[in-house]
Amino acid sequence: MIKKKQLESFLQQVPDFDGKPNWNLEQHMTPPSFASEIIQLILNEESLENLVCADFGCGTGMLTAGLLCCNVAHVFAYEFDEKVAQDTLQTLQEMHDGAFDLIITNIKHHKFPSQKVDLILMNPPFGTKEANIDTVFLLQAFQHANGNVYSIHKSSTRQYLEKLAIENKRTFKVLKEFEFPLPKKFSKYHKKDLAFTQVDFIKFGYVKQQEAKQDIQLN
Amino acid sequence: MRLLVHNLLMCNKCDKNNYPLKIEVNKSVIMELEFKKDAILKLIPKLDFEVLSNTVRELGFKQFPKQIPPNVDQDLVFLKDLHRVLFETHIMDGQLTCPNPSCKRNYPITNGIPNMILTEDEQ
Repeated sequence: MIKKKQLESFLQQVPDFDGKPNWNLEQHMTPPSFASEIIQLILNEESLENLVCADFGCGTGMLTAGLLCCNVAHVFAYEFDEKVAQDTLQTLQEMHDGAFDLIITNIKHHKFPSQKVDLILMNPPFGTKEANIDTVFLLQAFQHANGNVYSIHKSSTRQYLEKLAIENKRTFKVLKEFEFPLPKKFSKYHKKDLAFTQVDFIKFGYVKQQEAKQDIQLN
Repeated sequence: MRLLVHNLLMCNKCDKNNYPLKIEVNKSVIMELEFKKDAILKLIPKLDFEVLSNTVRELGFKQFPKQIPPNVDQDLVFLKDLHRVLFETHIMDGQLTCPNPSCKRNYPITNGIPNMILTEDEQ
């Protein structure tokens, strides 16, 4: 099991977005310290060995890189921005020899096969630019994975997401709260260059449908 | 783009007859990757094997089996061939085409990445 310091040190090699990040797409890099911590939190929940994974909105590939360090079988990394996807493919290939593929797509319109991947880890847009995009990412993830979905969301949406989880027959667990650094344009705080937004790292646990039915019968 | 990805992709425009996408290859490369038996075995149930097999044979690997052989976990020859086609074969340039005759939408593959984005009109 990879140590947090080792992982963080490795992830520090992932370069930030080249040039000006696209604010409409909420392009921001998951900080390496953050990424290494959430990988550790996932490892407390399950083994990542040989899992087939997906990263929705992979951006710089920080989370994909984290997964590769944990000996997953493969990562499907989805990204909307063509240039970012090409850059990320290049940099990650140089950093790690694990298996991953980039797919350029719009998560909103992409047709994902149902119940296919073992795990999804993502840092989706928070919905500050395009309303409800965070919900869209989650619904797509719930459909595509027959395993746990781990995702980062604004803490202010916690109650709403818990309801969403229940509606979609998923368990809901906040693994940790974080202060997430965002460039000032993303936040309402204009005084500083960097502002922090409170976010939750959430496990939306997969429940095999048999079990869910039993729960309803017991009630 | 690995054939593993192709196995999961469908036309984003159509709801029916949208899978599998036809592949046209302009450039492909083999990039070696460490063989991990357990990873491949875990992957097999996720595959549409018939689609993979047809695709692989259409691309030139005529002897690739049409079905998963029995005792697959002992069959190292098969597993290594599977590893080769799933993990080590990369389509660098080409296109993917919707099989629906009333659609036939093309998705380009550029520098190893397929582009599945629809235009506004298509959404």
